[in-house]
Amino acid sequence: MNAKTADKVATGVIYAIAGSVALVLFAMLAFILVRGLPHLSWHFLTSAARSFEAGGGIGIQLFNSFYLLILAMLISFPIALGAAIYLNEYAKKNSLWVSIVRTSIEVMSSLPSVVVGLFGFLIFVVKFKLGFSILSGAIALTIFNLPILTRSIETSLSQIPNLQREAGAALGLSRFETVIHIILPASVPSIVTGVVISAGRVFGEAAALIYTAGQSAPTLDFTDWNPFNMASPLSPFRPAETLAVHIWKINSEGIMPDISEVSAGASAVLIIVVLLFNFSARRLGQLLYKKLTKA
Amino acid sequence: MTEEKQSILKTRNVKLWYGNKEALHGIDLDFPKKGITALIGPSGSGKSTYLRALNRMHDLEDNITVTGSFDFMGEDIYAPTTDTVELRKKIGMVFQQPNPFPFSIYDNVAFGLRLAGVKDKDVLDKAVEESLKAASIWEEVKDNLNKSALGLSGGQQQRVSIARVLATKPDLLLLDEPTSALDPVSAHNIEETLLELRDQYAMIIVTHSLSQASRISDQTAFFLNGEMVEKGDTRKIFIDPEKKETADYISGRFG
Repeated sequence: MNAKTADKVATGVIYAIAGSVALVLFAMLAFILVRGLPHLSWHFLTSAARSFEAGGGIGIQLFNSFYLLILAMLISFPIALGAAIYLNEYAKKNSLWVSIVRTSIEVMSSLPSVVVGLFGFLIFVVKFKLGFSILSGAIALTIFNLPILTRSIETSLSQIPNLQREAGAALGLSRFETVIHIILPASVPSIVTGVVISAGRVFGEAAALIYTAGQSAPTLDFTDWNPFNMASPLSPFRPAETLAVHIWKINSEGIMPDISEVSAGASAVLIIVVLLFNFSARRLGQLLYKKLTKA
Repeated sequence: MTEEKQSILKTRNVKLWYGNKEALHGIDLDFPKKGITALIGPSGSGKSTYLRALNRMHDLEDNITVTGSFDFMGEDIYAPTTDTVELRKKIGMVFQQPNPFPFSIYDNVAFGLRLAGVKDKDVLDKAVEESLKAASIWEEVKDNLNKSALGLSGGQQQRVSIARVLATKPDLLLLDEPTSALDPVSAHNIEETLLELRDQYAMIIVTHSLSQASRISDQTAFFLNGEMVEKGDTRKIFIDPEKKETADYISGRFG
């Protein structure tokens, strides 16, 4: 075999491997969507789940997923942003302290989410007496999300060329002013992309929530928006089964007659939302970048 | 008036270490209140390193030590009480790579003033126009002030970078090879700009281009291996240098 043929064969093999990766994804998406889409209806998306009879929906679970996501992001974003700014802009490269922080982030990001969930259960649910609640769940999700988000923001910051920092310093800006006025605005598009993509991961997380946000979705009174009432959708102290947990739950111990339909429909919704996050992330980033650089 | 009084900056015995390695071996240089001083020399001769010591850019890096005396209009640049932020407002810098911020042209130039607390729109408008005019780019961008500075050509970006520095009214302008990343036409425009400014500002320019140094500078200092070999009027350095190394470098025998 001469070099040219070998090259062609190798190229073909590489294409085939890359194609098979895409194929796995498309096959899975197609399977889930084909099975799930026929069961989607406005009623399914908005009504409460039923335990013993057919015709239940996923309204409350869907709401819970979004609410938990927002709370988890509200807690984790400022911490991740601060940590990333410290690591990328302030930290000395070779200090012991910084390598401890970095190692911690790496270890944290490889913690199995079920372990995070059990830890959250023992500490927040039991010890701090928060119970199975949105708050416990949001804290567990924060632990799960923090390392990934920190790294993604740090990467965004590190993509801003050093020239910009020097330009800031040379103009008489303090390091903090340079970060606030130059580095952050310049990296907003890529930070937003990272946040939205990590939101997709958080949205689909189940294991960390089973023992923290709980596996029950009490009926909510959507006319009561006082967060201190247990029946209010905004109450952070109520248990809140999310969509991902719901799928796990009904498949392991559901007894309603239409388990497979509900499960397929819920999976389709979950996948669609995650896909939406992923697709919109880049668009949103580009849009913001255009806006920022034009204004 | 004595020469003492005319200098804006006097440095004595400037030494700099990267870790344990001494990179500058005691530089003495004075700079007049107006006009352009060129620092020339081969790569690695320490001219950029020396320049960046003048506005304490080395503070941004770990592991660099600077010693020596730096008398900037009576102030000691490296005194423990010196506020580097204030210092860098008085000593502006233009870099090798044009580095406008990812904002509009207007916002780039108004940046330093806004940060200093200037809010009055008229004052800002006037300063932006004056600075862009001083950097000879007003005519090219006056209708597009709200467009992103990143959309400009390299040479235009560099002149916006110069305008941005001028807007903060520095006393001394450091230019670190400001034209080496640009095409010849843009480089020529920048040189014209610097010549226009030479009566109003004290400027120190590091350059690899001997012809540029001879065209625009009033005085020239030749650096080699971390030493300042010779300094003097540009004409004298180029026509009748005292040291053999200078003559060799000028005539293109090395570097």
